[in-house]
Amino acid sequence: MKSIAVYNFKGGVGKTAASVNLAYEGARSGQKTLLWDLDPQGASSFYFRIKPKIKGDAKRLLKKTNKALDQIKATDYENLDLLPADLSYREMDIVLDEMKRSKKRFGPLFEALEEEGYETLLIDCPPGLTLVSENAMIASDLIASPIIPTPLSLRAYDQMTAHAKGLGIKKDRFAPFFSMVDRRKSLHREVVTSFIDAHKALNSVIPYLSSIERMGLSREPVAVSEPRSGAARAYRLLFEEIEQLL
Amino acid sequence: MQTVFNLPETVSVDQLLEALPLAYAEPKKERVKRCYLDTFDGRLHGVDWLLYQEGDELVLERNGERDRFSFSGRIPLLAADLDQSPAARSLQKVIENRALLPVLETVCESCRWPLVDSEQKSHLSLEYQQLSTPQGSHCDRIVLRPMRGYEKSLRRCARALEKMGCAIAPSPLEEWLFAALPDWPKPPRLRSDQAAYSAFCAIAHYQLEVMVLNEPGVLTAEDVEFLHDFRVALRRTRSLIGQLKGVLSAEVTERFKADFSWLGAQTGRVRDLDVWQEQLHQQSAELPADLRAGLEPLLRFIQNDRKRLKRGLDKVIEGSVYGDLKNRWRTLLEEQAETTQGVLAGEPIGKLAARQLYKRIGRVLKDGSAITEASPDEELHTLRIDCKKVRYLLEFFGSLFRGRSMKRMIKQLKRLQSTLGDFQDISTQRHNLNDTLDRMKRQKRTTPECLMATGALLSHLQQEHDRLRAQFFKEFEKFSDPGLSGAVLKELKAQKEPR
Repeated sequence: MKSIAVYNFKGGVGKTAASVNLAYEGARSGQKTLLWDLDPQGASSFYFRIKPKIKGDAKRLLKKTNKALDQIKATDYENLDLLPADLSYREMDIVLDEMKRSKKRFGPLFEALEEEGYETLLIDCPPGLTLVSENAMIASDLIASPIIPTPLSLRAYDQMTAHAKGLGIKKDRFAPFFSMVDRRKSLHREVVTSFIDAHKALNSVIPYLSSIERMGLSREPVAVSEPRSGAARAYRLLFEEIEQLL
Repeated sequence: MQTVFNLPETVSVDQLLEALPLAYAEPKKERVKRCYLDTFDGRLHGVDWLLYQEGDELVLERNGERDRFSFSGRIPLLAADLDQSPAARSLQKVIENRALLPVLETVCESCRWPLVDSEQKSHLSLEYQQLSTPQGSHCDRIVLRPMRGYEKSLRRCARALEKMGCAIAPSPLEEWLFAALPDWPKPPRLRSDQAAYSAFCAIAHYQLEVMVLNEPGVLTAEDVEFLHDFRVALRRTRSLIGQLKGVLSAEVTERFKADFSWLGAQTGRVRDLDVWQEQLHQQSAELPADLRAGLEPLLRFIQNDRKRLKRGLDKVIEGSVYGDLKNRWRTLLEEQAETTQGVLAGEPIGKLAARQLYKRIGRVLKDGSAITEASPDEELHTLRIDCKKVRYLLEFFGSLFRGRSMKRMIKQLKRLQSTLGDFQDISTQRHNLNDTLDRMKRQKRTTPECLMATGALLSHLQQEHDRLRAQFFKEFEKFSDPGLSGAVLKELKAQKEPR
């Protein structure tokens, strides 16, 4: 099973849109895919029209992997399932902190998911530098990190990778890509060009497009609601590029 | 796993949809043609699997799981035509050498409604299916297709359907498929006190039916197992005639012995080449990669040989000599005329079989014990034939002897026979290889690469020859263990000479 954490400690950078659309692309390519909506806000669950609720709570989910498997729900798309968000996830940090080996608690769940036949796992991580995000980063094969092309965002990315280095996560496990790029802004254009060259970022860029914002209304991946849109194409190319790294 | 319900005549699908606890969304209509496949001997039916072609894919349904995979597009198809997906590999293990043949075609016209909640999220779907076959079978049914995580909604909908008079119904497919599979004859059930002649006729008649059943497949050659099964039935027939001497009259025995021996010779060479080709494919994988291509001229030569011999075989199967032999044999077995009966015709079969088995097992033990490290290969070949005779007797009459030691002995006999069979195959292969190479050389069809590859193959065969000879002594020791063979012989002795 290939696991991809979609993570940036900054909020509002397009993590959820990327998670939902990448998961859809994974499933569409024929891989049995699971999206874990780890963000207590439950936006990924909302996009798939699934209630952001699990039986029990975050503690039970982490301690009993077989119970976690019972919480998985099929989406309306072939090969794509979702492990929904839950409000109790906001206490996951405290739960993890109380557990032994608190930074490596996702491993058993990932193993159980692999045994269940999942080939691709996407994790929509909450923002912030927390034990939850550290667990997701440590356990995943790749950290797909959306970045808005502004100096502050780039600074935050550097801080994040420096922190990850302290956790033993090498920089080559990060796959940064630009998100919400407005090609009309010269700043965006300049930052994208210079950063991609300097940081080995992915070539695929997710533009700032209204079709992505409209996902909130259609509650479907863009490839379903607007299959011919530039956004749908951008996520498909992004998925293909990420897949080559795995 | 989907739940299938019948559709009561008095209820419409619209009424069912209205009675459900969930709303329904826009339906999707489909018309799907499927071609169900199975081997001639119904192996997929035997393990409760369903395999069908849908478009350019194959779909395998087993234990509620459905896997799709690609194939060469050719039907009938063989294991080599399948892709290397896990499902295809499991299928390959089940079908082995057998071809997957079209068994049944169905057309399914369906209308599928997603059943949704207030957020328009589907929890499951309801499908109205009209299933039919070109032969006129028809079935209307309702299928609830579950979605992971929505088991409660499934239960609620199933209850609502049951309230409307729908009942869980078995799929008619299994029944239709079973009816479409070849009608295999059943082996006869023997009684110990049955007259030997009547038992003989029942067994031989069954073998004749198996031969006849396999004839069309021998001709079309969709897989090599048709000829194999045909020849197994033929060998059993020959063994029966040879081993139950005295049940048929001497004159009849001699005549049919010669006739079936002729048929064995006519069909044997093609089968030998089938076995050899399969072995060569396996062995070439063990050769160093750079030598493998050298076997190509040999494989082509064998294939041409087989084509030529197969034309001769087809003429035999379709010809009047074999047709006449079958008719005469069938008439004898069905009419059971007194004039064809021998001196032992009336003897109870249990007693006769015990006597024969006692004699044959004793022969195996005696001949086997005489084999030493210095014995020539021929002695092992003779022993293999002795073992085969015992094996056939056990296949015919095993049901009359139910002792535990007999079961253990059969198990060990199979192992011994398998080693001796492999040993025989090696010898045959060495002989075939030398003979074929001589012919190829005469026709200037060899290449230096071919000679190198066959040289490597001969050395591989020599190693296998030595390994199997060493293995024989271990297997024979287990078989001849007095604790095992002694108990079996005691049981047989009691039956052949009842007090």
